[in-house]
Parts: sequence; C-alpha cells; structure tokens
Amino acid sequence: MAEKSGVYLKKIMNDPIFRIFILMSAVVIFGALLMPGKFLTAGNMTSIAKQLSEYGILALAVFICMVSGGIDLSVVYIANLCGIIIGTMLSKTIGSSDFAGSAAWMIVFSSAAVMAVGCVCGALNGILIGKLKVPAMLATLGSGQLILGISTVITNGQAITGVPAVFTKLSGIKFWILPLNFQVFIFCAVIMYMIMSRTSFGLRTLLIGSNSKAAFFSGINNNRDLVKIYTISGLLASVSGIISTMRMSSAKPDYGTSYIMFSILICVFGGTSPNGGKGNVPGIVLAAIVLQMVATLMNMFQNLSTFYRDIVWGALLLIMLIINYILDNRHVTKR
Amino acid sequence: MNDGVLSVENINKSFGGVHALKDVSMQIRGGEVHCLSGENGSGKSTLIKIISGYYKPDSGKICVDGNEYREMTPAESINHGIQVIYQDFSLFPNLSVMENLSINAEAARGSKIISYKRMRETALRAVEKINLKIDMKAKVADLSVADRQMTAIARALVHDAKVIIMDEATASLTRNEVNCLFKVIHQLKEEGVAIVFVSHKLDEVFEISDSITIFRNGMNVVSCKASEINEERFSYYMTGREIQSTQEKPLVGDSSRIMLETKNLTVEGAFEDVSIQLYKGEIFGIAGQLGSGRTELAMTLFGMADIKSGEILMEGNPIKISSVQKAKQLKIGYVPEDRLTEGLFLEQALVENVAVTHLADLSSKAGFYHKKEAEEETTQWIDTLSISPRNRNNLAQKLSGGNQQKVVLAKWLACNPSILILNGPTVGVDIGAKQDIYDLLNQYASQGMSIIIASDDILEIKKLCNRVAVMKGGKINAFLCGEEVTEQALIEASI
Repeated sequence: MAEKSGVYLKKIMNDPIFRIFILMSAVVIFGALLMPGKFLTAGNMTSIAKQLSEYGILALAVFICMVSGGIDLSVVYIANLCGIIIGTMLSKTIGSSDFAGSAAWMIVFSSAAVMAVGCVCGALNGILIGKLKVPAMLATLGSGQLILGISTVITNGQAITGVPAVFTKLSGIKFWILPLNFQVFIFCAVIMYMIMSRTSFGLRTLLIGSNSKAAFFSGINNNRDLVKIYTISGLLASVSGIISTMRMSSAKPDYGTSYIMFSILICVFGGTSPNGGKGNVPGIVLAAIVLQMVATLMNMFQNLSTFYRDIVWGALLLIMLIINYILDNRHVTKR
Repeated sequence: MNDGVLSVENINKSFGGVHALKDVSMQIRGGEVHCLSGENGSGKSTLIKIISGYYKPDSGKICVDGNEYREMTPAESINHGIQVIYQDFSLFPNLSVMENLSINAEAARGSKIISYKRMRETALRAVEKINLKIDMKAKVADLSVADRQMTAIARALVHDAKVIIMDEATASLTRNEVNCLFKVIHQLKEEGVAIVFVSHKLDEVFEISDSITIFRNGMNVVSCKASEINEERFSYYMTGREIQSTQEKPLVGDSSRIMLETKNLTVEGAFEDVSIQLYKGEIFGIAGQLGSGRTELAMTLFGMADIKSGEILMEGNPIKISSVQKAKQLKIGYVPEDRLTEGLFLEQALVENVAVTHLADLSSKAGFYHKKEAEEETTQWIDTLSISPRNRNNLAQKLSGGNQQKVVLAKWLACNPSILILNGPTVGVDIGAKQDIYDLLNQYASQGMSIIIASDDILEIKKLCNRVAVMKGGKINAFLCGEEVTEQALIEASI
C-alpha cells in the first residue's frame, strides 16, 4: 500500500502542472506573508491578471508552434502590427462623430479585420516553414523583422494614440475580479486546450513535433498542418495585439519586444518541450500566472534595485528549468 | 583464471526495477571472434556499455590485461585498447574521412594547434592496417554505409585496439559488403585482436565466429565454441522456444487479378524502365542491394517521387500516385526502412503510434478525436500481433526492435490496405519476432492482401516470395519465379 502511494506521488511529481501548482501556492503564501494586505488583495490580483493576459496569449501562440517542433519569434511584431491597425482604424472612424452610433459595430468589424491580418501573417510563416522548409527560427525571425518594418512605415515610427475611449473602456469590464483581458486569455486557453487534446488536428500537431518524418511517412500532410499551426499562432498574436491596444490605449511597432523571450520561457516553464512533441495548455496558463506573480511581488520591494530584480528573475527561471530537467530525466540513468 | 584479454565476472546491473544483467560472466581471448547474440532487450547492449565504461555495474568485476576493475571509466576502457563500434558508427558526418579518423587522436594529444600533416599521417596509418581504399577528403555523410563502417573500423584501429566490439555491424550492410567486412575481421584476428561480434543474423554468426555467447533475459544462457552448437540450438537458446516456420512454400497469389502494375516506370536518378506486376494475395519480392533502386521503387509506389516516364496501373486503371496522402487513399500502406526515424513516434504512446495513419476514421466529421475508440483499437492490435508488453500506454521507445516493428505494421494494417509495401521488414528484428512477422504477412496475403517486400535479405525473400524482381544499378536485372527463387540465383542477379 505504501509502495503504491509512493508510485502515485512520483507520478504527480513528474507532472509539470503539479510542480507549477506547488510553486504557485508557495509564491502566494510567500507574498501574503511578506506583503500582508498588499499582495493578496483583489486589486492586486486584478492587475496581475490584466498584465499577464497579453503575453499569456502570445505564449499560447508560441506554444502550438513549439509543440509542432518549431517556434514563432514573430508573434510580438504581429501583435504590434495588429494593435497599430486596430488603433488607427478606430481612431479614424469612431473618432469622427459621424460613426459614433455604430461604434460597437466598428469595433467588431475592425477586430475581425485585424484577426484576418494576423492569420495572413501566420499563414505566411507557415508557408515559409512548411512548403519552403525554412527553419522555423529563421523564417519567423525574418518575417518578424519584415512586419516590424511594415509597422514602422505605417506609423512613421511613432506611437499610435487617440484610441477612442469607447474601446479602451472595454478593458475595465470585469467578471468578479477578473478583467476582460484575462477573460479573453482564458477563452483562448480553453479553445487551445480543446484543439490540442480533443481534435485530430491537435494530435497531428503533437505527432509532427514528435517526429515529422514519421508523420510524413504515415500520410499526414505536414505542410498543410504547419500552415494551419502558424496561422493559429498569428491569429492568437492578433488577439493579443487587440487587447494590448485596449489596455494601453496606444500601440507602437516595437512595444513589448521582451515579451517574445518571456513567452518562450512560459512555454518551457509550463512543460512544453523545446524539441517538440510535448506540451499542455494548463501548464502554459499556470506558468504565465506564476511568472507574473513573482514579477509583481518583486516590484513590491521598493528598495530592491531593478538590476537586482533582473538577477533574481533570471536565476529563478534558470533554477526552475534545471529542476524541470532533472525531474524529467530522473528515470534515465545516464545519457 | 584470466587467460582472456577481457573478461567480466558476475556482473549485475539494474535500471529502476528492471534487472538488465543477472550474474553475467564472459571471457574473450585474443585473436578470436566472439559472437554475442540474444534477442533485443536481452542485455547485450547493456554489457557492451559496461565494458566501454558508459554504465557502472551494480556488482561484479571487469578484468582487462590482468587488472581488475569494479567499474571502468570510458577513458580507462579506451586506454586498455577496448574500442566499440556502435550501430550508428558515431562518426561526424560533416567532417572528412581523414578528420574522422584522426580527430580523436589529435584531440587526445592535448595540443592547442592542429597539425593537418600529423592528422593525415594518423589517418593513413589506420587505413593501411585494413587495406582500405577510400577517398580521404570525402565527407562521411557522402559515403556509402559500407564505407562508413570501414571508416569506423579504421578509426578503432588508430588506438591500437586489442578488443573491438562491433554492435550489429552488419545490420545495414549488403551481403557483398559483409564479405569485405569479414575479410577485415579475419585479418584483425590474425594480428591477435579480439573481436566481439554482436549480431543475430544466424548465417553470419556461424560463418565468422569462433565462440558464441547467447544472452536471454539478462542472463548468459550459453558460452561455447561455435562448432559445438548448430542453428537449431542457437535459435532455441536465443528465444527459449522451438521456432517452427508454419508455412513452407511461399504464397502464389491470384495471377488473374493484377492489383498493381508498373509499365516502363522511370524515376530520374533512381531507376529506369521498371515493369512489374503484383498479383492479388501474393508477396512479391524486390531484391537488390543498397543503391540498386529497390528502396526508391518502393517509395515511388507510395507516392514519394516524381515519375519521369512510364505509368502505374491499379487493377487495370492508370493512376497517379502523386503524394503519400494519395497513396493512402488508394489503400496503399508503406512500412519504411528505418523504423526509428521514419516509422515511429518514439516518445509517444502506442495508441498514438497506431492511430496516426487513420486519424480521420477515428475522428468525428468536425475533427474531434475519439480517444476511446483509438485505445480500444490499439488494444486489439496488441493482441492480434502479440505485441509485448501488452500496454497501449507504453511509449514506443520502451519496446524492443521486434515489437516496435509490429507497431509500425499495426498502424498500416489498421488502415486495412489492399497493398502493403514493406521496405526491409525485419532489419534489426530478433528471430522470434521475425517469425511472427513472417507468419502475419503470410496470413494477410492469404486473406487477399497484396504485399511487396523490398529487401536485401536474401533468405527473407526466398522464404516469403514466389515471384521476385532482382534489381541492380537502377534496373531490373532478373525476374525469378517459383523454383527459380534460390539463394544462388538471387545473389547472382544482384551482384
């Protein structure tokens, strides 16, 4: 009996989701003890939820590419382009009073248009990677630069401002303590979870990432699926761009460039294999929450210099990655 | 007691709960070819890795040159003249032959500056030892498998090896190349080098070895002179059961129904003017050595090549097999040559490995995947093909070679193909599983499936096929039928 529960415990410990969950609990308790009345408040939780949503969605975008054995480094630039386009569209239309009555429709219409732009950008990546066999890292690095250039030309390198208040106010909508941005993130995560675990497309994505050659020899149309995968990634990036513009009431071509690194870290942190073929959505959600909590907690120590924060931040991430590595490889004696 | 160059005594090794080696002892003398045999998972590789210092034994000792070791480091192993040539040769594909031969020695000098002159000398010395004629500047990636094998052997000789362990050295060699390898082995033997030859190809084992050790379930079941054992006993020791082939004569098939036919088929750079006919319910053989075009022909029939001229007919109707998807639609299945890189998803469970070929059948119209259905189906295939261990959630990498091959078979059989093409169906598969696979193929063929086997294993072709096309240099060199399919004829037509 004792042995059985031991095996069970081992099984749980090997589950990355469980590990992140433990860490999250630790961060919450730690935060509540160190910053009583400041960390564990509804207001703080709301701001955490608001901040993590944008790169949480970007992480989902990187995640599906990573599971398929690739990566998408262009997500931030796609998001920025989409943010710029929707900001411009709305400020040009709703801004002039003629259209004020149909503001809601304009928001819906421009969101749809921007999501289409995201899909096109993603599909472009997919074609480069699937059909033309450009390594994902180079393809998306290049397309990211291209998209950054397009954004810069559109905006003359300036930030887009004057986004109508009708739109930015939307991010104030709350469900309990959860802001709209976070609701969108959770919605995306649920959809992604369904896709990855319940559809044959999700399984194909996993298998392509696991062994693309074997997938090809099994009659999977890798190219077509890769285009789909990167299109989804582009679509998610555009959603992130929309809520980002909504929250900041502005957009610029090079906003949040550090998010790409952050998204990749969330993916790996959440148990996604950088080699492909392994990963789960709940892990991404939890990892995004934990990382933002730690960031917020560190920001609360006013006398902690930003430079030191970076050290703590980087070290914590590396330690978690090493722990993940050790736990994942424990059963392999020597390799 | 230690009259051997190398001996191991009472070695035990466990991985987690698995007792991989149980009290294993073995002795290797200088100047002998010692064959180490056993089914996949019997502990051969574990022992080799203990000898090479890769694993540490739990107990027991290793004696080399009169020194006793509880455990060895890889450096100690190499210093005692033990060289292991792994199945994949562990060469650097992007470097030249010369660099591959000399880089270890050069690195071992500890000098910070590389001397190409010295490297060239080292390499030439090694090559001379086995009279190897090879372009020193050629990149290893561009070499044939046989040349890579020889390069790996030459590299082992750079270090004045006393013991060379060859792990499944012949797995990807053609018969001709095996003969060359054997010549080299004989020569090394005369120089007093001990060779440990790991293989489970019966004919080769008896041809080359002086002594034989057979492992089963991590135990040394027999160690004796090669002359003291015959093929039957050998199989028995390996599997622990008497192997009986259930079918003596290959299936003839229904010549009135031609399932697949090629007419003057040509694929640029691969083969030309190939015309074959595949009858319903037969196992058709495409024999030929590596590079003869047999693999390319098999792959073309599975939609993986651009046809330059000629045509393919299915039951009399001209068809275009333009992609793998198209081939699958036409109910053609293909078991690839290399199951590890082309056949399996190693880190995924058996369920996914089997389901992959027919996900559409296992999903609703909207694309939702019915996992339960896939699981039940996999369980059925595990039973039908007697895949062990009988756990559908096992990862494919945990299975032995034979069982892995059965999984690859299962994923295509699950599509219910009318034509199944197998390329080297039993490469690296142990005797027991081999027979299981042969029985299965015969069973499916007699139920009406048409099967093509592309292989360089002559015994396999002879055993299974009533009609054989022998390829050589991209052309069909001979058609053999019925009584004509003999070892002699197959060898003659392919070289």
